[in-house]
Amino acid sequence: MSHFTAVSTANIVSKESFVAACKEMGFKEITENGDVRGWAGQKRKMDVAVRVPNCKYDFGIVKNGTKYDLIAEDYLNKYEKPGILGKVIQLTTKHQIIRDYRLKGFTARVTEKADQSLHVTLTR
Amino acid sequence: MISLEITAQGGVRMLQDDAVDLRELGKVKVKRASHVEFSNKTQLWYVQSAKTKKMLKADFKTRAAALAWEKTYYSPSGKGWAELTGGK
Repeated sequence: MSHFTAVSTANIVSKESFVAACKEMGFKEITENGDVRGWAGQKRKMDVAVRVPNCKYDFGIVKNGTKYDLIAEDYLNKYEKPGILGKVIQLTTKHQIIRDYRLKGFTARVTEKADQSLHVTLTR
Repeated sequence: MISLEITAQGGVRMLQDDAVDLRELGKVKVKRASHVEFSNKTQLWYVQSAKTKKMLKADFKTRAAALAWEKTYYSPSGKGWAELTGGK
């Protein structure tokens, strides 16, 4: 008799996992305490700033209590790089889980499914 | 073995396992997936879907065997996953 448990959108709780995810996505300019480009030429300081090449806008994370807020212009996620923020959260979560559960003695195996979800198997 | 799925939008979902606390990643929603019960008539354990009420399998000699089967059935690669997630 089991229960189905879900988190609709995972929080970013690890800066290191976020950076690992961004590197995995191929981003090269990842700067701690850097600026991101926003609407109308605005710049905003981030705990980690990620420059998005060939785009007007960037994204980054800012600490908010025990987690980080993912900050980006809507235009980036809707038009310039559709779905990019979901992918960032997905891969950050993957790295977070692998790191956290490796410390608990688990080995993780990850496969990507046809619908672009990730199937993570933890064994000990 | 524990299985979970990370969606393309960054959601996480799994059949509940106390070894993994999804509350570490955010606010969780939990719903019942199935019932594992004993049939006094057949003297066997069975697994029933909580959503459809369909009897999924009813020939287990032990509760442990029923739970193990259910875990596979409702894993992200199992036949019952779509029922839990609303997928196809």
